[in-house]
Amino acid sequence: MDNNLLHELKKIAIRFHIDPQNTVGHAARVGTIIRVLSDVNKSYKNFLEVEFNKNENFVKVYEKNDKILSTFLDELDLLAVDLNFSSFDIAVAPNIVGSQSSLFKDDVLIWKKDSFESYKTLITGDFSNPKYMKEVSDKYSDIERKQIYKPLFSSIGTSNQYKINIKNNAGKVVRTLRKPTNEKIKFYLPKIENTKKIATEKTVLAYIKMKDRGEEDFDIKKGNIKEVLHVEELEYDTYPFSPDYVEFDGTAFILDRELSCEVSYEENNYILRNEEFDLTVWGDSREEVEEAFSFSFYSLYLNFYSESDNKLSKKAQILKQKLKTTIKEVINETKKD
Amino acid sequence: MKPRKTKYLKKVLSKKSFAIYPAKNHHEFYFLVVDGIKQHIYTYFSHGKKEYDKKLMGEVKKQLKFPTSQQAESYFDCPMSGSAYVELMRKIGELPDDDDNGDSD
Repeated sequence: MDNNLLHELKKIAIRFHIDPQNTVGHAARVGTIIRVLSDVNKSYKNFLEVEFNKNENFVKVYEKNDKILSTFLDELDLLAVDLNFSSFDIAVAPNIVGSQSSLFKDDVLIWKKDSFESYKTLITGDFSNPKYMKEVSDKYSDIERKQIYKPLFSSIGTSNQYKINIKNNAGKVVRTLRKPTNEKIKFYLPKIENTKKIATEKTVLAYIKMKDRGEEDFDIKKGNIKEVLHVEELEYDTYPFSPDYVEFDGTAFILDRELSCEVSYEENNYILRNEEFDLTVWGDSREEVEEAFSFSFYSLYLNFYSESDNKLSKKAQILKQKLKTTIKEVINETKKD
Repeated sequence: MKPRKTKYLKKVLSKKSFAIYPAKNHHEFYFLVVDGIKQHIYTYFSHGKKEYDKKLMGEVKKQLKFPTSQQAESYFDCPMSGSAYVELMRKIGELPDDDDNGDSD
């Protein structure tokens, strides 16, 4: 990096002084340094994400190109721009003076500079001060506060481990980071109710061009889809029904192939039709009509498959033979017990 | 076809040559028996519905192999007897002639 640019960054940087309490000559442990810097960096990135989502222009662009946020965050990685090993002073700043992506030009550079200044104000504030807390409350929601302050508080060790001082450019300590009391921590790190949205479902009919992997079953994962040719939302669950296994009342039938059934929805009824066995059943829902089909197939089994020929008409005997060739195996759960 | 109460429909079927088996979990299976021989004509009934609308009456009509709605109406409204229905099925080739049934073939 150009020396002039580095000089500029040193001027705007946040200076941390990690002051261990129980080490020889107050030398900082490597693990402590890594943890503190990593947590501060995370807090800063989360802060940027929160601020990004508050900017309407960015959100509009994000809706068209969701890579914009990660590009931003990458560009704004905190850099160590100055280091003093003897007392472990480190100055960090994002590269907001060098060349940037031209996605938004000047507006973005201004936003980046402003947001870093805002973060400096945030991190150097007195976390226990009611006025500071009020400002944070006005600006950030519960979730946003938690995103920003959780890693930040994690970086602050206990007082007998180390202290983190924030210094100004002149090397003067302007703030020692201290965790607020447990009561106040609840404000920064509130319990977030699980508001995970239960995904609603819909049934769609899709025509998909897939990679031919020479397999009988279709593995409809993203990698196998070459092109989605047509997608249509079904008003009702009228996709075909093709069972190769039927079960009713403890009796299961393993079939030698899938039975082809058409399902329609007419005048508030689901109607399921299998031409081969001349079965038509109905119900108020998809589940009901599938169960009705299972019942009817089971009824054919009881009345025809298991019946002796001398009690069946010629056509009923043909039906019986068709059932015999279709049903590969009958598993009777009640008999098994 | 006009809508009808399912209770009424089932009563008619039971009186006119149809046997019911099995009847489980709100479902019923009716099949035609002629001279003690089970035929390939059957239909499904659901306890869930108290009345069958025009659409479902049409489905029952098809299951029972009625060539016309008028004949189906006649069967359910009672003018057509069980034996008349069997005769009709023989006439349209759904059922074998009197002496051409079961293993006597």
